[in-house]
Amino acid sequence: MPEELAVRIEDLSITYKVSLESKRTLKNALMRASLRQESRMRTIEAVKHLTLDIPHGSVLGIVGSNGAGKSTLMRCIAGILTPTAGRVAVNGKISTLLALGVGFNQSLSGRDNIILGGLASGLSKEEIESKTDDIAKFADLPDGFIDLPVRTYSSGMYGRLSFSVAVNMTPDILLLDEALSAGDAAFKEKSFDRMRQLCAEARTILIVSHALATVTELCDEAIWMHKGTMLAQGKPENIVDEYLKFLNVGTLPSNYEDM
Amino acid sequence: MVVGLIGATAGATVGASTVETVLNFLTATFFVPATFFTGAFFTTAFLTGAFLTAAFLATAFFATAFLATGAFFVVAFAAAFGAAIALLDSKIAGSKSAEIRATPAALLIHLELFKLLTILMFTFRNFSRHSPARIKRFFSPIGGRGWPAGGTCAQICSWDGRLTPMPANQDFVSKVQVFEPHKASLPPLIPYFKEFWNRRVFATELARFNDKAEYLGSRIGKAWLILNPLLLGIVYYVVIVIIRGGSDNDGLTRLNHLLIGLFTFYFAQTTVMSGAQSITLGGRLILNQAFPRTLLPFSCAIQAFRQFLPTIPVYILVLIVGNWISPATKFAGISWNFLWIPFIIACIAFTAFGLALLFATMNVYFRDTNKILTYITRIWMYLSPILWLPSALHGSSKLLLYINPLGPALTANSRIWIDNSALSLNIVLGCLFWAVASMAIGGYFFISRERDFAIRI
Repeated sequence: MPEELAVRIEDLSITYKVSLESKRTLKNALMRASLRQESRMRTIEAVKHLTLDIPHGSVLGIVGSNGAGKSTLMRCIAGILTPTAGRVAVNGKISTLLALGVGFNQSLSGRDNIILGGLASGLSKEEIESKTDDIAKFADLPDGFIDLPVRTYSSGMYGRLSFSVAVNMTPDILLLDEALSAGDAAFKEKSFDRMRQLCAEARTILIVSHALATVTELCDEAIWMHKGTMLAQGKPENIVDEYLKFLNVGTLPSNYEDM
Repeated sequence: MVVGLIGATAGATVGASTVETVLNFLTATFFVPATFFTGAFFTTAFLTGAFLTAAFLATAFFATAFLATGAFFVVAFAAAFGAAIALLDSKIAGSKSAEIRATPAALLIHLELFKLLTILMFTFRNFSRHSPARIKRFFSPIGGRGWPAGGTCAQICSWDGRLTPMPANQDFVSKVQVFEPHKASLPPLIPYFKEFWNRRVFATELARFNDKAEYLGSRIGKAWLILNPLLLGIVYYVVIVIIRGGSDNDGLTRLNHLLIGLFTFYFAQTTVMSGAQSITLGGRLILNQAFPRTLLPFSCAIQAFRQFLPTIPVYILVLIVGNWISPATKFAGISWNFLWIPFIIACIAFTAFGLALLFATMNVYFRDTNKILTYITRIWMYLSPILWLPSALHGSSKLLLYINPLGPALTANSRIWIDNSALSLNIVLGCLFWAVASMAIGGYFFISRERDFAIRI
């Protein structure tokens, strides 16, 4: 893998099956098997033959309608999901914000959740404890909320804390999935600043967003995904334009139809 | 015995008539009253101590009811089950001291088994139209058809060098991670365990935080962890004394045996039960981050151990007070034998952790595993030498101690805490065997499937 690349994706396909049963229980499975019913499964081809190189220091925006495979792609780069075919090589430390939430225990305080999340991502206890104050400061929660149980937070506060954890882990590669919708205008400006700063430090950011203005403003490269395939890659303005045209017309541009 | 015979006769009649009736009315509605009445006979027979009769009844009922529906698989299953109960009963009834017959354990085992049988019966009822090949295929991997495309149960990426801490602004020559599908069901184990070891602090901190969240500002909460098995032990003791018609001549020895058994068993049970839920409850963290998922059940094991430790001083307190109240109570005294205790506890911990991994995996695919687990652990407790003394078993019935994953360890536990006697080689090997076997099986199931969890949560 060349040194200047942060992520190299070669002919990546991700396929998985989901159960269509209302309840996945042992009892149902046994009953179904005993009645010789096939369990109702649907195979989802989330990503199909995707090849992409992302150099260090770039900000890549990923646009596409729901179900295009954007989140699956992000999870695969993070190492949470595994490729069905192909190869993903990642050069550097990853920080993710894929599902909103820092830790996972609602009855623990924000501070405890930050520590748990950091430990799970492989930081030592001293490292994460030294960062906790910065994270709390960046999230800028109202007085004392950082030491209250997370279940008392508003959804905006929750989103701010999650975002703050993700950007303050000093990642080489930052994966953000719909993370910028959280927080008010002031916080948005702050997060943009922080992301520009990360860029200046030659860190790589991947953003999945439906807020197209964000993509054009922050990214220097964008891809458009549609039903698992990458339709186009290029300057964010052009990609967003084409995507918008598609959204308004509802059909794919003629030059993509054969794909 | 008379009632038992009446039960047997009635059972035979019911059985005979069931053949005819079921042949004519193969409807599910029939099963409900049939189960109820047979259940009543079954229980009556137990209450009179006629275990053999009861086992016969159970077998007869299953055989007739299911022969009628042509379910060869269920018949085979029920017959094997019935035969096992009958064998167990005859062994217990034939044992020299025969004391186990009088303990509530035997009774409760049968009641729980009956409940489980009823559930299984309804579940397996439809296996009649099943070919053996299909049954085999169904049981081979958990869930049969539910794996991701590509045929392998889990295609696990390398953990190599994941998120190793790196100072800011370092040049980007850090380890490159490559994610590729691979056909082997297990990931490379050495990097996996290295990652596990690197993040062990996460597991201990998670256990500590969970403890904190659960009992935040509630003193009775923490006390409850000790009070619950203590009170339960006393209740069981009272029941045993009543059924036996008075205490033995050894004072409160039996209570002590019961308590140390219950405390230790609770440690294993908590590990298994909370470990089994740890993955399904760990949603956000699993969706957001890549880390060895074994850390979550491991943290539950640590939490269970932290809750187990304070029960030991409580046991010693009960022992001292018991000896003071009733001087006949056996007082083990201190000897080198107590050096075995850490070994036994470690074996119990590993056995329970292995089982927790197994059930945690099952729970991801079948969300009712937890409900079934409550039955399993209860039967497991009655089958363990807690309510009865290991010395109650003789001859080949001693096998019961060894087919139970916690049997050897609990026997050893009681032998040291109560009798202060040395362990036999069989017991030590039994402890080791179950620890290794359960870790190997549970670990294999869990680790080979854990990359699938993020999709299924």
